Amino acid sequence: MIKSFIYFIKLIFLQKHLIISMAKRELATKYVGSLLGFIWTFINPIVMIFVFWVVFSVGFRVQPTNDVPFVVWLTAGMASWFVFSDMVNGSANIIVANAHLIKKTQFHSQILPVVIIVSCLITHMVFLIVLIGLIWFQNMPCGLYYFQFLYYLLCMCVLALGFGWIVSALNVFIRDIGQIVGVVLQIGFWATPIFWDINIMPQKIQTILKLNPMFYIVQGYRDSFIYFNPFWNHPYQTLYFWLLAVILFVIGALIFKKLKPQFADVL
Amino acid sequence: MTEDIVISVKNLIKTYKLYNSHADRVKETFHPLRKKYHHSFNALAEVSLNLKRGETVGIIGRNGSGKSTLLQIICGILQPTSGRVEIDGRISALLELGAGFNPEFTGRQNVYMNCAILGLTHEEIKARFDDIVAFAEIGDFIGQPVKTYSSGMYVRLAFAIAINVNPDILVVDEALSVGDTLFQSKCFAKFKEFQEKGITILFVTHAMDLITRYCSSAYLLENGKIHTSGSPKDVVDEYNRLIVNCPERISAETVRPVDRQEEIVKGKQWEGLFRLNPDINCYGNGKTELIEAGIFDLDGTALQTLVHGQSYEFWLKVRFNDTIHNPIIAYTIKDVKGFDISGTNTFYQNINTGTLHKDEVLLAIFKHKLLLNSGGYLLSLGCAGYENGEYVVYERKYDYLSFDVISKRQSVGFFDMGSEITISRI
Repeated sequence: MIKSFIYFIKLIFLQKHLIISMAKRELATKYVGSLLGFIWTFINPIVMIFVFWVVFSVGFRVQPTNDVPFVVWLTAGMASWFVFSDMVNGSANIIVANAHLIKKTQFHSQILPVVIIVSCLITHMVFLIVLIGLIWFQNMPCGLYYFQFLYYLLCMCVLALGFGWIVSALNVFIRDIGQIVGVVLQIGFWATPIFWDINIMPQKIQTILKLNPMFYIVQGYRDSFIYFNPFWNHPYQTLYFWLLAVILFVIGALIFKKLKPQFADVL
Repeated sequence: MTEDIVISVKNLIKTYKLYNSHADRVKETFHPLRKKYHHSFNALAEVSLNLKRGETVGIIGRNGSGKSTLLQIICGILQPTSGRVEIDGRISALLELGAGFNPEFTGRQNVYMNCAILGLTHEEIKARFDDIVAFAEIGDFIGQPVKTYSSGMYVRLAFAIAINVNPDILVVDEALSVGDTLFQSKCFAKFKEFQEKGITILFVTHAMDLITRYCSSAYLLENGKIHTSGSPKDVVDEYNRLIVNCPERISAETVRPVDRQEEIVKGKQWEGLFRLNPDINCYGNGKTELIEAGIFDLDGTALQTLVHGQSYEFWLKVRFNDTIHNPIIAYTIKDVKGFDISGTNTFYQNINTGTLHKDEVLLAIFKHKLLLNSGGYLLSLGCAGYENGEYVVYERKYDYLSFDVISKRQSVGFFDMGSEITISRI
C-alpha cells in the first residue's frame, strides 16, 4: 500500500521530461495561431496592473496602506491568488480534456495536474517580473527577501496539487465539480484578504479568516515583496499551513489513486 | 511465465458496471458498506491466451465481441475485473490513429510529444526523428499543423511513431485499414522485419486476408469468449460461418418453414409466412397493385433461408387497376450494401403477358437454381410497361423481403460459377 503510494508520487519525478514538454504544449495551445504568441503572457498582466494603477492611484487616490502604494500592495497579493486559482481551475478539466490519452495510450494520468501547475508557473513568473517592475517604478526598496517568495510558491504548489488531484479525479465522474470549483474560487477571492486589509476586521473574525490556507500565501507574498518579513515570524501559521497542506496532498493522492483505474471506463 | 511467452492472459474477465449516473459510481467507490449501485455487463468472460516471442497473432470477431477491450487490457489502459495479465517487454500500442496528436501543432511537435508519452527521452527521439519522417513519407508537411494532413498522412505518421520506438510487443487495433495499398504493404514489410527480430505483434482487423497472410495464429472472439483459436485459415472459416448464422439475422433454426397448402387466391394469403422488411421503399403510379410475394421451394414450402445449389421459386401476385397491355413483371436481388446482384423480367425473357383488365390478378412464378454465395440479400419486385413508346413504372417495391443463403461450397464474391476443377500432370 505504502509502496504503491510512493511509486505513485515517484512517477512524477520519473516523467519530468514529459511533464515539462506537456506544460510547454499546454501553454502553447493558448497562443497557437495568434501572431504575438507568447507576448500575450506579458500583455495581460501589464494591462491589468496598469488599469489598477489608473483606477486606484490616479483615479480614486486610495491612501497608501502602511506607506505602501495600494496598487503594489494589491498586485502582490493578487499574484499568488491568480496562479493558485489558475492551477486548481485548470486541474478540474485536465483529465476530461485529455481523455484520448487516457483511453488510447499507456499514460500515467496523475502527472496531468502537475502539468497544469508547471504551465501556470511559467505565466506566474511573467506576472512577477511585471510586479517587480512596478515596485521599482514606485521607487520602493528591493532586497534579497524577494527570493522568499519561492518558499511560499512551493507551499502553494503542494496545496494546489492536493486540490488538483481531488478535483480532477472527481470531475471525471461528476462533471459539476468543474463548475463548483469555479464558484468556490470566486468566493475564495473575496474571502481572502486580497482587496482588503485583514486588520479592518475585529480580532475574532481575523482568527477565523486566518484558517484559510491561502491567507498564509497572500500574506507571505506581501512579506516577501513589500515588508521583508521572514516566514519564521509566523511559526503557528506555518505549522498550521503545512499540516493542512500535507493532509490535503495525501488525501488528494489517495483519491486520485483510487479512482484512476476507472477513468478509462468512464471517459 | 516460461521464457518464450511474452503475453500471458489468464481467465480474464472484464465486467462493466453499468450505472444510472456517474454519481452512483462515486458513491459506490467510497461507500463504507460496499453497497451495490450497478448492474453488470460482461465484455470479456474467461479469456485466456498466450503469445510467444516473435509470433504474429490476429484477433477477429464481430463488432462488440470484446476485441478492443481485450487489447486495451493487455496494454494496461483498462483494468480487468479479474484474471491475470503478464507482459514481458515494452508495448507500443496503436489503438487509435494519432491518439496523442494535437491537431493545432506541427507534425514535428507531435512526433516529439507522442514519443515522450511512449517513454522516450529527448535524445532518443532526436536520434529516431529522421527515420520516423522518412517512414511516414510526409516530407515538408512535417512542419505543418497536423490538422492540415490527409487521413492517410495522419495514419502514416502515427504508425511510423509506433514502430520506431523499438517495442518488444506491437499492438495494433484496426489502424492499418486507413492507409493506401502501397503504405499497407510497406507496413507489412515492416511486420515481416519485426517477426524476424523476434518482436511480437498482436493486431485486430476485419480484413480476413491480412489474417491469413501475416498471422501465425488467430483468435476468434464471440460474446467476450474465445470461440475458436488456432491456424489463421480455420479461424477465418469459422468467422465466416459465424457471421452468416449470426443471431440478429435469420438462421435456419429460427425460421420454421411453412407449407403453402391452399389454393392460390386473388387476395392476400401468405401473411405470416414471411417476415417482410419494415423499411420497404415503394413508388409507382398506382395502376397496378403488388398484392404479395414469397419464396418457396419446389414442394411449396415458404422459406427465407435458402441453401446454395437448390432450386427455388419467387411467386408474386399483381392486381391491375386499369387496362394494361403487356405489363413487365420483374425482380431484382441486391446485397445488403444495395448493390444489384441479379434480376430479370418478363420483357427480357420475351414473355408476352397479354392484355390485363381492371381487377384481374396475375401470378408470376420465377423458378431458378440458386447460385448465390452465402450471405444476406434483399429481394425487390416491380411491375412496369410501355405506354405510347414510353417506359412507365406502375409499381415498385424495393427491398420487399430479405433472405439468407447458406452454402457448404466456398467461393469468392457473390456468385458461384460451379466450377469443376480437373488437374493433370502433363
